[in-house]
Amino acid sequence: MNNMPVNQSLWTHDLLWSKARAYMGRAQDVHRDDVLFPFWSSLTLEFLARAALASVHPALVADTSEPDIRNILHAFGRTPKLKGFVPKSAPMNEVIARCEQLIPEFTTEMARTCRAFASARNEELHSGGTPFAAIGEGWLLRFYEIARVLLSFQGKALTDLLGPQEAMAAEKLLAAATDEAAKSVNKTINAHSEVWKNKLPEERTRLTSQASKAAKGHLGHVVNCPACGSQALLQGEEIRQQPPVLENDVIVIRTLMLPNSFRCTACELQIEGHGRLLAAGLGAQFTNTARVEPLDYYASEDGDDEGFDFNWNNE
Amino acid sequence: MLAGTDGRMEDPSLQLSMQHLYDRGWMHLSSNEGSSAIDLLSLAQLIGTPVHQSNIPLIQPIVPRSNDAARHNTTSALYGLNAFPPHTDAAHWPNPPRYVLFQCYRCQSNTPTMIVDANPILNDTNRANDLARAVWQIRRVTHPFLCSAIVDGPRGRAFRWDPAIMIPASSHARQSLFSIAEQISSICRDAPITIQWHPGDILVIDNWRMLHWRPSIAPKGGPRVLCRIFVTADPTS
Repeated sequence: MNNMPVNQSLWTHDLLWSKARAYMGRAQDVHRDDVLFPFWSSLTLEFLARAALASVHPALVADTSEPDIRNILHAFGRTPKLKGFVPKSAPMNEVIARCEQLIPEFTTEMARTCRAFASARNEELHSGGTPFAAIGEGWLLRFYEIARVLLSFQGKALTDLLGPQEAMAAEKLLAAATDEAAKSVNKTINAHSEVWKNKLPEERTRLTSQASKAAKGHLGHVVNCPACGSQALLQGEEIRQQPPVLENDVIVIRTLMLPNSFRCTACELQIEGHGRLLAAGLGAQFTNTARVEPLDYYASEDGDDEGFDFNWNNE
Repeated sequence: MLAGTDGRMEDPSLQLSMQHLYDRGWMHLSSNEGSSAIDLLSLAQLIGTPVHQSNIPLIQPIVPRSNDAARHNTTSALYGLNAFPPHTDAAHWPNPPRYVLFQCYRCQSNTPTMIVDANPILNDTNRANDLARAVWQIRRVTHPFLCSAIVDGPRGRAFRWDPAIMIPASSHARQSLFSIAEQISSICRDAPITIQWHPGDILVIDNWRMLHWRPSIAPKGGPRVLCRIFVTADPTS
């Protein structure tokens, strides 16, 4: 095509990113105890998520529930034939799901928090309720955590959203929370360690042996328990799967995982959530390696755990 | 008649001018030096993809008009025959076009086009960061929107500036407005480039980098007719 009329969509990254900044500015203009502070922040989060998708391509913001590709055409700057066409972007729930698939560091916990923000925003706008009056403490920390991940994905930092002074305060809050999480998780680890030390040596040997048998590579990522030293399993959520490769006549599929749960069957230590795992020294991403016979890979669509093995070394 | 693009890029003088465009942000093909051998559309297609709004022709004639005679919602409707402020073109598009091509068809008014390189602002980290933080409202359009004045993308840094349609939309933009306007005035004062028009002359500017404007039209000056084409490197982004 040599020449073309312009039909640019309003879903471009800069427009969505600018709106996020404008809403953040509105949030910063009100008192911190004003219900409008979390309200504007929730809208900021929504546009940060949409901007993150649009930073890859505006088509990722398009609603895809229509029976044709009208909204995707619009995102590509084309005009659908439909008369009176009004472009429709994806609803927030779908935006969050897309972010979860697209952004490696955007965890299931973060998606859950984003849905809670979106739900509160809906209740605020569509009902007689005032949910932000009861939002409680801790939301700002979660907002900063998620904002940092969404910003990083689009090549931005908290300072670009909040300005240098507020970004510094936000970073301090995040660092303090990490310290607090570390203290809390270390307290739990120490408590389990003390209980472990008080067990009889034969009991410890028996439990360690049982834990070693239970901690199979095909069930999770095998690590040493920080409380008792036994072998234990780390579970995670998928970040990204690499294309399958053929190695020694076997198809190898490697998947990058973000840890989100730890359980030791010997001392019964459990740690949930990536933040707490990070504080416990178990937060590094790991690779799940699956080896499948070519015949099975191409013949069967059913999942089969056999043949899976987790790497021992964290990346 | 004007030539097409076949083999045109092998023309050493055109190659030099194109290099000038990429290096310095603008190129001027004088009709005295044979620029009329290439027509505006062919040159636009050499540079990228010509684009236009659906209600405006691809090759758009630009004629100075008084406020009363100008089409509604145009720069002429605001400024008439007075001087235009320095601006980038099509700042009301979500993605403004990368290049703007002008060709002079008639010019008896001796009114030049002025251009200035905004790189002293764009390449200054502190100034650029300050400018990038501000949010601007695009108004006087069917679908108003918020945007940045500086956008960093895969094809480089893009500058968007048009005081006729951009107003501050964040407290930072409101606080910075005077300083930004002063910085722009300063570069326009210090290093303006004057393009004197002769029929057939072509001017190509990097619209993500160069500001341009025209001085006021003399009351009894002769006709001044330019044609304009927008060119984008990527029409879909």
